[in-house]
Formats: sequence, structure tokens, C-alpha cells
Amino acid sequence: MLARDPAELALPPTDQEILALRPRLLAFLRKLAGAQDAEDLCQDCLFRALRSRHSFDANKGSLQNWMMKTAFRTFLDHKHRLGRQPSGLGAGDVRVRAPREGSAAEREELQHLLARLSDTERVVLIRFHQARESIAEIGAALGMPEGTVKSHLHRARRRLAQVQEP
Amino acid sequence: MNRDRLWQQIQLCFDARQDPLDDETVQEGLLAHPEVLEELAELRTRLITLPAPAPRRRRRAAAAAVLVLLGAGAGSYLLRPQPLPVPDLRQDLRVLELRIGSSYAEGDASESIAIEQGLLHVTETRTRRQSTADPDVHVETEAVQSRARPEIPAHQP
Repeated sequence: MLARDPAELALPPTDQEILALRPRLLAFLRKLAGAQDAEDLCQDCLFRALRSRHSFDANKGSLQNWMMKTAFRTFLDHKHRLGRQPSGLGAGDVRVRAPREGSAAEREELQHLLARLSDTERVVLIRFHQARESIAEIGAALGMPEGTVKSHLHRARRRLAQVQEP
Repeated sequence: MNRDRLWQQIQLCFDARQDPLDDETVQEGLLAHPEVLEELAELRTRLITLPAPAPRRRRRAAAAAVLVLLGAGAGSYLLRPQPLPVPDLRQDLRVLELRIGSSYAEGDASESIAIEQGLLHVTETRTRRQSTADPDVHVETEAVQSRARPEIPAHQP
């Protein structure tokens, strides 16, 4: 990430600083909107950022976070424009979308993260999101209260949400 | 909304099988905590990419039951009682031997013997034909003897 000199904090970000974040923005938008729309959304996002760079306040957060917010707003507008069509997740259900193959690197990274979960966390996570079992069914199958199942599930999700730095 | 509260709301959406990005509370929280955006994007993607679950015990049991049934079926087929050989009636009832003999010791006379081999009996028929002094009158006698077959020969298909 490009570090800014304290003296430059008051200055708007340069073109170079904004465009340097393009790969990260594109990867982020690919995950949100899919590869097909990500490129257009990324261009739209960069255009917005360059146009409104004077509104960036380095005292309120990093340029990266500001750009991520811009990208997310771009994505939400895109979603709104689509007339609230399914976001690719059907009726709001993550598993309604066809299982995604993912690249070899993504699969390897996922396997690595899954291996770091406890056996119970991994079983609960896969049973809920892949096998589409309910919390109650998982609890009955594993002989544990629903609250405990949820705890394992939530912990597993948080661990799965780790971002690998590029 | 602090970061923990935002994650709590995200978890609730996932628990309800809803996309957190469709939830307005989550959207506001994400704009307030943009550092969570990439984490959530990663999480959504990874949840969709999760590998298929390992076969469950019930499925394994069902598969084992199917295999047992298949094995039992194949075994009973292979070990089924073989039907006794069905004799070929046409073959067993055929005339095995026919001898025709003749003698003229008492004038015009003839004799024939026919042997038929059936399933259970062997029948021997002796026919004697003699001529009388009247050339148009002939006397014919027949003797039939039947005895049980000593054994049923093995059928050769």
C-alpha cells in the first residue's frame, strides 16, 4: 500500500495512488458481482474515485478503505439498477447459487483454511452450507444443543473470512 | 454499529440463509466499517466453493445394504437349484432296434420283433405271420412284452 507523508494528508490522492489499487478493487468486485460485471464496475469505481478524490479525508481512514467503500457503493448502485434481480444468490440464500468451482489457487487456499478449523467447526460448516442441513438437524446428528452448533458455525465463518494479503 | 455488531448481523443473515449484502443494516455497517468488506466478500465466495460433504453414515449404510442385497441376489442366482435334466422324449421313445427275421419251416411264415425304449418301460413286440392252406387267409399273432427300464440314462443336452 502506498504510505502517505503526514504533510500530504491534506492533499487529495493522486491518479497513481488510486490506480494502484485497481487489482485489489477488481478482485473484490469479482467476488461480489462475478467476473462478467466486475471489469465494468471497476472502471466505474475508478472513475468515481478520480472524480471525487477531493472528498477523501485521510484522517478518517485509509485510501484503501475509501476506495473499497466507493467500490461497494458502485456495486450497490449496480444491484439497484438491475431492479433487485437476484444478486446471484437466488432468494438471498448463499447456497442457492450453483456451487462455484473456483480457481485451483482458490480451492487450495480454501482447503488450507478448512484444515485449520477444528473437526466440529468443519463438519458443522459443511453440513449447514453444503449439505443444507438446518441448525436443528446438525444439533440432533452431532448430539449438541443448537446454540453450540451456532457457536461452532459462527466461529468457522469468521475463520473462513480471513483475507489473504496479495 | 460497531464491528462486532456488524458481524453478528452478518451471521444472522447467513443463519437465515439470506445474503447479508441484501440486508440494509449490513450495508450500512459495511460502509461504516469498510475493512470488513473484503472479509465478507471472501467469506461469501468461499462458502459457495465449499467442497461436497463426506458421505453420511445413513448414506453409507444404505449403500452397504444395496451391496448386500446385490450380493445376496447374485449368490442366490448362482446357487439356485438346478433343474433335473429333462429327457428328450423324442430320443428316448424312439425305436432303438428292429429285427426282422423270417423262416419257412412251416410253409409261408414270417416274424418280426420291434423294441421300443420309453421313459419307464422297454417294450418288445413280437409279431408272427403265417399263411394257411388258403392263399388268401393269413394268421397273425402278436406278443407284447414290457418291462421296467433298469435305469434312466443321463440326459446329454
